Amino acid sequence: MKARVADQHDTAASWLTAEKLEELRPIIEANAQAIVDKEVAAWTPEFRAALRKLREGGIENRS
Amino acid sequence: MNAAFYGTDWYGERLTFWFKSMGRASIVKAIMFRPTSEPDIYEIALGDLTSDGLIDLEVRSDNGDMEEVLSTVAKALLFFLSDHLGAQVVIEASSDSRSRLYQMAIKRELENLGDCLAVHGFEGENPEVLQRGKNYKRFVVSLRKDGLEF
Repeated sequence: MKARVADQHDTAASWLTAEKLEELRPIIEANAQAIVDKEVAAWTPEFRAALRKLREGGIENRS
Repeated sequence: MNAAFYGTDWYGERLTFWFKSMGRASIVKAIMFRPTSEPDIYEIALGDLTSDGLIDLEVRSDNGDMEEVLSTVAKALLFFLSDHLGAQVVIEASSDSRSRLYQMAIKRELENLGDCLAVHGFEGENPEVLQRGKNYKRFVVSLRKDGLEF
């Protein structure tokens, strides 16, 4: 088990480099935007209206 | 805020963060703030980053370091809000268990930063101040306008 965990650490460490992340940046950002766009598409007009009201300070913010 | 957290790196205007979750395994996590079609409203995407650039939002890592991961996300959120003062961030919970997890983390942050943060939960379409025992589907976090006296 210890060996397996060590292997996993090595696997992650081996690909996570600044160069690799820069190379993947367009893919990562496109994927993230696609995920968010899908979720935002499911927002109802009522939820959007509530968000606008929150932003405009129409709802008390004391948490 | 006193919980341990991981160091993060980021791209550009602090819209994309990543870090290594070092629990039972080493997992690369991505925290991404993306603009929505609503002005000044961003949504956060949090998931495991794969070596081909995909982000897995649904995976349950069970990596034994949940506290550190949530504290790291909270730090990233604060970094983001400090750079985008008028922004609101929507956090969507993909399941009831995630909702409970997020609510626990938010409550903990509010104990320290309640004067700076405004947080609302949505069960349905209407926001409310967070209440114990409720499973909110969405959370909206922003800096309090009256708390911005740096």
